[in-house]
Amino acid sequence: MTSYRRMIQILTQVLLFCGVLGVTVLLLFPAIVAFGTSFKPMGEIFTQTPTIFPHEPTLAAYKKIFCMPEFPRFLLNSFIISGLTALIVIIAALLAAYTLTFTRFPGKKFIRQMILMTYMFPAVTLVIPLYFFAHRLDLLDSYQILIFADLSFALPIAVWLMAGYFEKFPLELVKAARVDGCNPLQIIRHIIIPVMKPGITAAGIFSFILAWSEYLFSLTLTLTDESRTISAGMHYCLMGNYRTDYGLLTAASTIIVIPVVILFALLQKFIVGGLTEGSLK
Amino acid sequence: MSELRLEHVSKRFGRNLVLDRVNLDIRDGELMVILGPSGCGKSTLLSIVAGIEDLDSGIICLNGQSIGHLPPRNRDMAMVFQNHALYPHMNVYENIAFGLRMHKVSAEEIRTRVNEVAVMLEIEHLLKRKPRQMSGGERQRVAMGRAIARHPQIFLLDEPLSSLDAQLRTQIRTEIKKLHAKLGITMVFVTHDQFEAMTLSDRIAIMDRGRIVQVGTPDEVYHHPMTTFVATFLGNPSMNLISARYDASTCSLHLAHDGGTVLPTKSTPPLPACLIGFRPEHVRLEEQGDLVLDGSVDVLEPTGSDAFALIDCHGLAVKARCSNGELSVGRRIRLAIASEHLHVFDAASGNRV
Repeated sequence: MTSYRRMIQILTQVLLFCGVLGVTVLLLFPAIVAFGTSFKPMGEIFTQTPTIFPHEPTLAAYKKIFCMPEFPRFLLNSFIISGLTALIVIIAALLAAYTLTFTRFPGKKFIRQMILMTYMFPAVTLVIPLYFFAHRLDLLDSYQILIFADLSFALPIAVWLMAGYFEKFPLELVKAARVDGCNPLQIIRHIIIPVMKPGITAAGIFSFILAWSEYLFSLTLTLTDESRTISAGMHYCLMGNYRTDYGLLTAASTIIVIPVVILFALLQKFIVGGLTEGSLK
Repeated sequence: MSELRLEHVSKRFGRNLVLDRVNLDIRDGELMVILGPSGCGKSTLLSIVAGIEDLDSGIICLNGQSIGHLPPRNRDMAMVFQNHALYPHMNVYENIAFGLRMHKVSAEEIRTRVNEVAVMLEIEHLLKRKPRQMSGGERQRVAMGRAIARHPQIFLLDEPLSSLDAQLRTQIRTEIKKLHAKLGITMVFVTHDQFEAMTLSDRIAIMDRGRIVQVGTPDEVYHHPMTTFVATFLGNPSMNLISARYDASTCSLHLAHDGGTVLPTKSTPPLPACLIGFRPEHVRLEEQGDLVLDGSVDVLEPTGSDAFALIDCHGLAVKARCSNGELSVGRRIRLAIASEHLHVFDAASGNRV
């Protein structure tokens, strides 16, 4: 009986592992193909029998991209827009989520639902209104309008994400800090921010990635290379009318992904629960 | 000197009146326990004293100075919370030092005070640990230490023992009592546990539905309850209450269930309907007494040295404490209670007559 149960346990584990492996491969496959293709010489990309990894690896595509005069500008634009988006999201979402979780006011539930509702509009439906908006305010081709567009998608989710973390936040800590002599700003600085580090990191990474990989708004709301982000910039530089250089495109994609991977690797240790463990009981 | 006075303190949450004109005087160096069932408003009262909650009306005075309008940081009080509320990202040293840092105490002084408290509470070896690396009892000590290090005028404790297991609760309770004796500081301790209240307090304030119904020493509130609420809330098992009628012509009480037993009384209830109360430990298995009841043992609950018996006296359930093995289920007995142990309450208001 025991060995039968053990066998079932092992079988379940094996099946689960296979499932996870399958999903991982499925998700990573396009990225692996792009990564492999970026090292292929031009002639090898369109062979009759496609391969994942190159037979004769080359860095030609990367060299070409790094020599493009617009490339550093795109990269800088992306960093500024994504960084500012993440920063604004962290501050606004932290305050909004705290209010939505801990304070009582009429219409709170409605506001919570409306915040989530804004996320339900597909980005494409917002392109034209946003374009008009930017045009009227003379904000076309500026960092502000791209940050604004990114915020409209990142902020609602970040508020919900952070509210989820706040639900586990022990309010007694705020009371204890008040008795210990803190004013509201000191409570935010000394208690809420350190305890909410996982939530803040998660919201920050999420917003940064969302803004970094955003393509549609950057494509439509920018007119010159001055404010274009890397995803839209690469589109303009690499997608010709008659021919697309897939070697360059995949190399650019790989470069675009690198900062996100580094950021995630550095900060993922903060996105763990259990930080508040031990503060209560 | 640190005396605290509350006058007509009221608080509402929406339509719910949580505190209803609370009056309370807490003397210098006293350990005052606020005792009441869950939801009676005792923790809210403590939060209002600490300044965490605003009061709707009334006055709070510390040493004659009104402090009701001051933020918590200017009230010179420290608080220990039910769930300790230690800052999870700080180690024990930082947790204790935090309040001092916020009050701009010098680094040298902070070090001295933290070490002093650590020695007093025997937590020197824990100073570098984070809250999650400690047991419940250790966290409780740290929470106490955080409050003590502040050298506050008033020490507020909000059910600090309720999250601990029974053994640890006894141990920490003793430590709190020792600490109070050693520091001589004014303490306000909130609890729903009558045993904690009786063992710890100099005086007890008993709360019911947002009002303080009686204040007195543990002996006073136990032996002279002013209302049926206090009478039944204190004591385990609670006080027996029997319905009776007052006969003004003979100045005597007749038990309602049989009308037979007559008790002469000096007190005059405002209305004929009243309640006679007596504690289980005052019920004697004797033939003679001021109040005599016949019955048979229905249920026996041995507790080790003693046993609690539920006795059916012709439809009236009476709780009695007896020696273990003294009674058996079904046995017919006679109960007697001396008049000095009888309490008479007005049936309508529940107030002592």
